[in-house]
Amino acid sequence: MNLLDIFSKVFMDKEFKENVNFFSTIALFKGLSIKSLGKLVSVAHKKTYFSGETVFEQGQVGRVLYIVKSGGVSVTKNAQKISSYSVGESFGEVAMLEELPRTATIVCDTDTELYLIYKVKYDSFIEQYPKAGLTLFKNLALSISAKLRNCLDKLDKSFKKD
Amino acid sequence: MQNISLRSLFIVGFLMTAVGVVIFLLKGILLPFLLAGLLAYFLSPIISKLQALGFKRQVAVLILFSVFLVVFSATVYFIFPAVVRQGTSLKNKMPEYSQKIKNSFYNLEREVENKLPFAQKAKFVDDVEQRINTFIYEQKSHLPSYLLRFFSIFSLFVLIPMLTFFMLLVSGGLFDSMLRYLPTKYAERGLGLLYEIDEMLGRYIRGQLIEVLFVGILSTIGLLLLGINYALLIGSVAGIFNVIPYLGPVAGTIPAVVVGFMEYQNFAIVLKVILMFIVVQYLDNHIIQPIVIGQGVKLSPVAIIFSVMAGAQLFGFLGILFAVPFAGMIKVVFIVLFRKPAISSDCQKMLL
Repeated sequence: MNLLDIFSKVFMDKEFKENVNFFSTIALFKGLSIKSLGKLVSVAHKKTYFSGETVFEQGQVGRVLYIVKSGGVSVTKNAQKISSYSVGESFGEVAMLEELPRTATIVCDTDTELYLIYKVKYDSFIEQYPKAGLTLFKNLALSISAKLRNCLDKLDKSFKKD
Repeated sequence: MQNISLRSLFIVGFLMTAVGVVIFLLKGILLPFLLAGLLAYFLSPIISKLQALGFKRQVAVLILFSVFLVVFSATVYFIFPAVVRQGTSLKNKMPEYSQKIKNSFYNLEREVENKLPFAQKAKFVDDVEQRINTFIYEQKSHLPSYLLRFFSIFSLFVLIPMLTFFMLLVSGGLFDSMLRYLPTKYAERGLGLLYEIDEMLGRYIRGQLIEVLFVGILSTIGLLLLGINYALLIGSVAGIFNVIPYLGPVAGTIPAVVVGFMEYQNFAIVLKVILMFIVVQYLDNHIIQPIVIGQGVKLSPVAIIFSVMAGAQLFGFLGILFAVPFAGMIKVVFIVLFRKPAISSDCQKMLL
């Protein structure tokens, strides 16, 4: 074991490093530097939800971005499952842009660990690091556009069925 | 929806009343905890920055605390004795100053009496002198025990640093722990409440501490340039008084005006001192405040004055210091709990 390893073991937070590595795999944070990912990790909170628990309900005003750390969740709208999210995926991004009521309900399929990032912290991160903020917004736009395209495809298919 | 709001209102009202009663009952021992809390709030962003670099929280707290202790000790070692020296000197000079003021007013009274003979029986100066003496006697009897209790050596050098250290150490996991025990249904709202109160308090406390330093240093420099005695003492008082909304800046100016007038015996110096304090206040309000406090919770002037007076009534000096952040906290709780969607229902339909 060299000196650097000892230093790292004594002074550095191992869980923090693992969280940074995990955040680097998330599409929403693609292209962010390790330092920026570190800042986001430091404002993210982990919470465990049990199978069948509701994360949030349709119509509730949203101010939190969620990232699935383990397990999985279902997206239901008017009591009908329309989609699902698994490890490494994020949901609730619209809340980062506007204080809108949630458009769907999220229910845990299994015991699930989620990271929660609150809007105030997300906004102050963007204010403090505008360059990283630009990357985040680009990723956010891509994510919303992918979800919109997915929605339109489903709508198209349902029209064809009818 | 109406039922939920009323229930939330009742629970929030009950909890706030309970917290208020407990705080009121424990007010005698609160100061070291509040001062430690202030320091912890002031230092916590630096801890977060060190943690974001990957350091363990304990290591980050140790690094910062070591640096802070060195700076704090140096400040206490070099600046405190100077302030105490100036305070003692001012105390010794008080009889001389008091006599000078009395003479000036006696002259003024004599001139008035010559011009307005019917005012001869009023004996205005003697009456005012008696009132001031009574006031000073009453305040002096309160002051030493009050100050000693708050700033005892044990409190200043052992208890407050120790409490700050532990507060910094545990506050990192505080949000996670609270979030863990919050029912899932309330997680998002609970996190919102914690963050928005934290954000508001953090901005306010850090802002106030920076303002105290800014106003204190700038006033001291200004007073030194004007050649006023006891510049460090008066500057420090002006900095600390600045925390009190509206009244503070005026109260901070009075000692400087009095000492300046005693030393130079003319009104030009009074005007110069007042002008200097106006410039300091202008710089503070237009440059420092927007940067350090920014878009904090806005309270109306009526709410600020009411909360400061209510704080003074219930908790004395402590109440004056903490009235505004406490009122801000109540406002944040109501904003978060009863927040309405930001858009109209028509827009919601379009977005859905």
